[in-house]
Amino acid sequence: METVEARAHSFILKIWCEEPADDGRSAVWRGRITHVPSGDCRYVQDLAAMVSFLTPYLEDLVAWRPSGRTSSE
Amino acid sequence: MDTVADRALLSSAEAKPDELLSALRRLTERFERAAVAEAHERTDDAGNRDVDESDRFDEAEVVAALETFLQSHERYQRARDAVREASQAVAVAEADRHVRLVELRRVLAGASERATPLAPARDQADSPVRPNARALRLPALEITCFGRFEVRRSGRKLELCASRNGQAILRFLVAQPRRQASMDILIETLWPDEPARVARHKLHCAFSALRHALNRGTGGEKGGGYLLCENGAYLLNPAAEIQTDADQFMALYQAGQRAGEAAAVPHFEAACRLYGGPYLAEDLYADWSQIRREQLTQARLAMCGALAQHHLASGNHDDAAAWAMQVLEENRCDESAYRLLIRAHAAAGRRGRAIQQYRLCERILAEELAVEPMPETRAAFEEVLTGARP
Repeated sequence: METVEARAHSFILKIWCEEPADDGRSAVWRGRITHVPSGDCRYVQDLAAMVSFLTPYLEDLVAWRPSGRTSSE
Repeated sequence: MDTVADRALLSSAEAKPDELLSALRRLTERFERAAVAEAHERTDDAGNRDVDESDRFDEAEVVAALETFLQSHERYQRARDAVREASQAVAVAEADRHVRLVELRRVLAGASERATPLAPARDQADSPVRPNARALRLPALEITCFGRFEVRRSGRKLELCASRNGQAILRFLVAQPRRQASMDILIETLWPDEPARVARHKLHCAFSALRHALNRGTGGEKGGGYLLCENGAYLLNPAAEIQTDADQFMALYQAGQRAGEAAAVPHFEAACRLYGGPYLAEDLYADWSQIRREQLTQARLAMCGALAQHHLASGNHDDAAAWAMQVLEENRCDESAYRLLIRAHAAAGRRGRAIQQYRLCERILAEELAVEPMPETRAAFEEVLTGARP
């Protein structure tokens, strides 16, 4: 019996403010996203970078099939 | 306030520094006005006779008043420094007391264990007893969660059961806020893919092995001791004294936060000394351990940053650099840590190392984020190049 955990990915997203808004400048935030099961991580500074990191894992989920089934079933 | 009153204030030993400064400022202004008026008197035949007699100053009187002021100010500064030192000493003593208290508990637990018979009387063992009563003779357990997981009883390391899952149950329970978990949660965590019947059997075997390993030699009777199973929940006996380094770490962190500023330093240093590696390193990639690990990591980084800043301001440049390095080991893109490190090396006269750190910061930010250092970081670098102080 495979539980949902077999087809799940978990991530830790850490974001911090590098500098607050000041002197006409916008605040600068940065972050690090870590894929928990593998420990892979990437530093990010915008949402697009996060999406780009998550995409392969989402594709992996979409391609998932229960054990013993093929994609044509 | 008139001039006479200001002069009296300057000569008073009890005057407060801000009052002295105001009085000195007023007297200086009057002195300047009087000097201008006297110059006019000498050059203008008609003369200006409107100058108040009290505005006329004897130079020696001004010097004497200034000396009195400076002496008062020095007394104030000495007193302020003494209060600051005393406050730091109190914080050091408090942190030391905390460590000694833990040690005392450990020694007392050992003495208690040696003083009581190892085997309980038969009537006690067989009778249904409440957890509190069961725990009365249990020595405290000290559990190391940072780095390699270890359990000590009365200072001696316990050989835990060979069952990997038995140890995992203990780590899981220790990480729970109430140190308990239902059978379903344990099964879902440790045997997610096993059929329910098999998983229940494995849980039972692992739990029994763990309980035997923890209770061995304590007289912890069957069904009691450090581990309990009640109403479908598995738990660490709430009446047993079970201390973890992670709990002590957080207690010291919170004590430091309450103490604030320089008084926080001994607490933060004591907490960071407890850190021997990632929290529950054996479960580094298990979901259930992530939140607690992140909370502890965040607290540690906050303390390392505060310690680096404190030591840089205090002129302990090597300590400042060491604490800033700890932040960077955890987060290689933390620019505030780079700035502390650059300034610590520069202040210690290691200009080359300071420049090297800036170049490293530049390279890592380019690699990880494709950005350049912030203006604040470039400013720290330029201070090194020009020899300027921040």
